[in-house]
Amino acid sequence: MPFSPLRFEQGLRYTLPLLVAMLAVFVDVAPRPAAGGGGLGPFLTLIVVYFWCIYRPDIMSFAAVFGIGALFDLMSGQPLGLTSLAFVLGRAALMARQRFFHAKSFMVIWALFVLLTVGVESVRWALGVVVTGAVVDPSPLVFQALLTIAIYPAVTWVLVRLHGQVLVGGAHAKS
Amino acid sequence: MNTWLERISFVGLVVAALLLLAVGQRGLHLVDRTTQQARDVLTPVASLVAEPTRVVRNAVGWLGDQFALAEENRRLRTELERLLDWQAEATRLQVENAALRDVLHAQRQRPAPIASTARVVADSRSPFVHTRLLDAGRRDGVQAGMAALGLGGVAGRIVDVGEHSSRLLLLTDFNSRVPVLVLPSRDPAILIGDNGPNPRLDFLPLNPRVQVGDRVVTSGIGGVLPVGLPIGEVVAITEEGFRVRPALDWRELEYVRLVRMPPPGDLIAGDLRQPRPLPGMPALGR
Repeated sequence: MPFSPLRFEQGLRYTLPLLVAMLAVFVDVAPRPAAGGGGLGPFLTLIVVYFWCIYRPDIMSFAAVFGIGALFDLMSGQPLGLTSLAFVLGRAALMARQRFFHAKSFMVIWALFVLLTVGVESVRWALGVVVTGAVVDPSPLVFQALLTIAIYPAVTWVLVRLHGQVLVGGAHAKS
Repeated sequence: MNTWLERISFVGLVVAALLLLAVGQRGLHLVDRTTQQARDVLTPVASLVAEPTRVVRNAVGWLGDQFALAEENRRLRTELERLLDWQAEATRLQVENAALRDVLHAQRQRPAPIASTARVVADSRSPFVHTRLLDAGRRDGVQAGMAALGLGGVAGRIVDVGEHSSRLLLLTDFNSRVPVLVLPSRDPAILIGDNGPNPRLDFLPLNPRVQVGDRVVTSGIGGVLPVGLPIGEVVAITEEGFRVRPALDWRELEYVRLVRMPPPGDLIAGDLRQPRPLPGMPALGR
């Protein structure tokens, strides 16, 4: 098949949300200094997955969130399937209220993200306890959830620009 | 969920995730090999992404250092004074030790050889797992069970080796068990990680002579880790037992040295009365 710039551009537009989510995984697992070895920070991958689940659910499908969760587990050394399951359940909860998102203000979307973060981190903690058999202190996850919620507006600002410039802008140009 | 296809993929992927969780815990060879191969492919990407974050972290650290230079300089001068005294004492003890070995015709085991140096490229980011992904694997001479040394002391041991990557289990991980000796009493114990910052000592002898401030080193029992590698210091005696603060400088855990067990019977004989510089210490020069 001959190389077509238009086809390449369309392919890039379609895969960009997935590439951004994968990049978020690698940024999330990048080493950071922490006493005791449990380096914590905001869970960027969750923000990216949530954003594209709302605005491009056709691209951020169940299979995509499963794969991104698996990539996170693989790179972070957590039990394989743990984050995948949390992401798949989180997406199912979002999609059940899909109509609710339309034309809602940023504050409402942010409040929903708070609920999703609590849900996803609770599932990850509960699964971690069951799989490893260790009842660990959940406070690092609470701290991570708070950081993630706090950084949400800044990350979303970047993603909205990306969404507008590359995805929606491209669609307008095509039509 | 809108379509049947969505519902089927949801149910299928939930089942797949549960299967992965169940199979992963059984340690099946096929799953282990597949994940190792996937990690080998992805490690260069992780290494590439980790580089800018390292640069940013170093820049922030450099900026912080500039504000603390005077204080740091004062602290280092005091520490240098103290260490020079220690170095003189260590050299005296080394000569004395060599003389006594000579009298007893005792031989000394060679220090554990460094097999490889690896860079940390990914963090575990979880309170359940304390591991690091390293960018060196079987092709670089890394083997499962090797001890990893960071700045200050032992970081942990290698538990999973691919061709180009390996996973380091930190001392603080829930699954970490390291045979140690408490000094100066030489009480043997097992250092057990519990995902907290300070692992605990267990399986001590009856009436242990352990005190806060005692040093903890690897005992070499079990033949996995070499003898005498620095682990940390006893910092607390609680109802759960003795807590050890690792000597490792977590902020500098960017590169680790991987050491292999010296082969049995690999001993140094001969005249040891000539003092040698201690590992990592410059020659005396006050």
